[in-house]
Amino acid sequence: MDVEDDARHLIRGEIDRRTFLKGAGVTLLALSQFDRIAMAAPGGPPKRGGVLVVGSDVSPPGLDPAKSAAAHTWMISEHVYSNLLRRNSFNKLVPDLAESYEVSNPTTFVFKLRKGVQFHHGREATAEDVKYSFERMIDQRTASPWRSIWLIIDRIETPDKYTVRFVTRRPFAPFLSYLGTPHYSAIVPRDVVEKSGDLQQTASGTGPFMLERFVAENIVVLKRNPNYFESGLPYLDGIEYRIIPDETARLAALRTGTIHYTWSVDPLVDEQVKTMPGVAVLLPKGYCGQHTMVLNQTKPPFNDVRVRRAVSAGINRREVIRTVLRGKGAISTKIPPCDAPYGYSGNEKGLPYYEYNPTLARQLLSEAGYPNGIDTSLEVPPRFPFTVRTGEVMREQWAQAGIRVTLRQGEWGALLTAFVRTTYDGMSIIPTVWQPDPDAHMYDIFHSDSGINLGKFRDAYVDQLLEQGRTTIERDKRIGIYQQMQRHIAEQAYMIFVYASGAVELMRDVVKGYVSLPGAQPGSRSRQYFSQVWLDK
Amino acid sequence: MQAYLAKRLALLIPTLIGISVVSFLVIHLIPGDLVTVLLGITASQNEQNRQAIIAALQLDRPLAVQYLHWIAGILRGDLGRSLVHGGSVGTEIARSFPVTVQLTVMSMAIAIGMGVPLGVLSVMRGARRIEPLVRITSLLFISTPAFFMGTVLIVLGARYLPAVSTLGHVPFLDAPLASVGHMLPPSLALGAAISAILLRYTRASMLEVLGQDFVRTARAKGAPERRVVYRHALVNALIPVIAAAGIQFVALIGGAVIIEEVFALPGIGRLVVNAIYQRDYTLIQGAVLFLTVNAVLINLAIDVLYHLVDPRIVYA
Repeated sequence: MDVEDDARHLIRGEIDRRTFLKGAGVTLLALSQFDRIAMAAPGGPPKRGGVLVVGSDVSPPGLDPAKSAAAHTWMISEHVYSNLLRRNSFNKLVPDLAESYEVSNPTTFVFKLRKGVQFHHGREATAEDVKYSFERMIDQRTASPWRSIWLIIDRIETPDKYTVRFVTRRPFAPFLSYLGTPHYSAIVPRDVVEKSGDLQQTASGTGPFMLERFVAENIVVLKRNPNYFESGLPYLDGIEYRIIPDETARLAALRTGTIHYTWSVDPLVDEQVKTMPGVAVLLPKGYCGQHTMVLNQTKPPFNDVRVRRAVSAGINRREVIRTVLRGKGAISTKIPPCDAPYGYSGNEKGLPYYEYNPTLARQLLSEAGYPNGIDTSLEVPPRFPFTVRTGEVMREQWAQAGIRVTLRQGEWGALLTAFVRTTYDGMSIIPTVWQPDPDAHMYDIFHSDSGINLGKFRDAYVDQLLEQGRTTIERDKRIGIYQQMQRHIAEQAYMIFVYASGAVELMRDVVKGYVSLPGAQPGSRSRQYFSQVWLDK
Repeated sequence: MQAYLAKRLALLIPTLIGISVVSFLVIHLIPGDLVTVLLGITASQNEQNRQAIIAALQLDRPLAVQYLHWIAGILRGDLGRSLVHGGSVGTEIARSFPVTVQLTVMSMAIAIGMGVPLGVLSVMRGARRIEPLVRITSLLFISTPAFFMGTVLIVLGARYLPAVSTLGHVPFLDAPLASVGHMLPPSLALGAAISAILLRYTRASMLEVLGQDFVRTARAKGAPERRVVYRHALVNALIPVIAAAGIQFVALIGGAVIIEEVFALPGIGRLVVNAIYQRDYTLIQGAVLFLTVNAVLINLAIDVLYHLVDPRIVYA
């Protein structure tokens, strides 16, 4: 299983200010049939039929979107379930299972459901199922990773079969954004859950594909939902996910046409497949997958801001991107450049201590009482070879600044736990996850009172900004808050961000209508959505 | 013999208790925890989420209680449920074990089918000239890691035989021919090295036996060379070969994880390794226990086989 959470979604959490602030007025969004992803469909009109075979590197541990924090679950469950809202290719929230919605006041959200939408097992999806889906995630016994998100809900009312009203405990800016995030808010059928206990091995949703077969570590077979509510979609008869862990084997399967589509986190893979006939390469369009480097601030030397600043200024970010990623990456903060304008999308000159300056770093260390530099360690996960390489390049750069770093490799589960709990010795770096909203990017890991603040720092100003970001509905103001936060974090160097990168997608040229959605992190992949994909053969 | 079997089977009980305690402790003592893995990087940073998971999976009980609970389940024939996805551990093992058994059996068939005859051939009188060739080839096979040979097979197959699928698994009972076909490349990759090992065992053992008195006697009484080699020498030379083959067999069951990974086979090796990555405690414990029982039983079967090949070996 992949434990990296939700790297793959390019969902910017932009709540349109007008949408949100119509106040008591009714905001109806017109339903756009084919709006899920803009259909740039080169190659003529789409043809119906055929089974798309996807070569996947990791097996989903189970299929229940409310229970699995694995991206490999979501890439499948997104095809099986619908949400109230979803995002089109321009990242605008549009209705999905909901026909329309209105924001009556900042804490009340009313959704009108489509009528006559059938679950795959042949029962109509109603307001009760929506209510149940969220109450199930809130229920402690479900042990859902998304529970804490939905605790914001005070109550869910169902005035009639097709109307759902959410009342939140307080104004919560990311609410709609989370509702449009497929794995956070999949609408599931109560009867099937109660019969099977959970949806890990079985599935029934209202999405474009239905689960036919799931054999862990081997294959997942989806077939077309003939009753899907967007008429004419999907074009495919089905999707098969073959689990092929070894990348060389996956590329060989792509060459023979055994699989149609796969991805790679190796930025050099396009060189490798250049010679493969009939294979197309999609380079990442936006960089969404960032690395988070944490510093143990419970003890010296990193409890001194000057040392942290020295670490930041001792990294030549541009050089790391050029060497490790061969240029396929960008300077990043916790909110990656693909999330601009919330995310930072400039060069290293735009943020404090982002520009490489070993002289300044040495000087900062001297001021902090380390004229001869410091010796420390950086934990790196060998599971992600590019993270290790990043560490190696940074080690050489830091050496110029008098920061002598030992790289420590370890098993992923152990490193991850140490990372989350701040039990590593000096520093630790892992590829972290892309989040659907700036609040999700920052709140839990930056807040002083958070159970697990990464690095264990406390900053009242950060807390204040976090609360403002949560409750400020107005978009421009909210953008300002998060930009201020990113500048402040860079200034204090509580955490260090080096770059953001993306995955390379590879496919046979019979695959048409596919639109690449950036959203990848190293070690994960882009968000894939195949409803509008067709095979030209 | 029966008394011996009973004794060996009785020994299984303390072995299993020991293994169960050790595997239980080791998996709980290694750093890293299930909750973080289950929740992912972000959600695990929320204390409420953590508490919910801990409560739902009853991870807050003392280790001893958890252990006894698990053992009690096993005595009832229930290996428990995966902590990660809630599926039955027994089902997971039943799903993955046949894949590994098929891989192991086919690899061993290839290894024995190639190694033993070639080993015999290499000591025959006419074989002096091919002897260096056999020696070099076997050295090459022994020193080539199976994953490398597997990758080479996959890449060459994709390049020159694109119609032949080398990846994934088709259950034997669903489609026997396709199943064997799919399993052939990984079996070759694994079997090649083992065949070279068996070839060397066979050859060494044959050379030793062929130098013994009874072989000279057989030749002296005018037995044809074929009969001397096959009837007199080979049967006596087989014991160390069986021992070596048995060790390889046990090692493959559960130890073929790299080949399972390269060829995308959903076998028990991958099951265990993935369970370890995910800290799926019950799944690891169940699978390790199962593999232990297997190893003990296979070793027992090999001992019985000794007796069948050489009736002079008796167990009391």
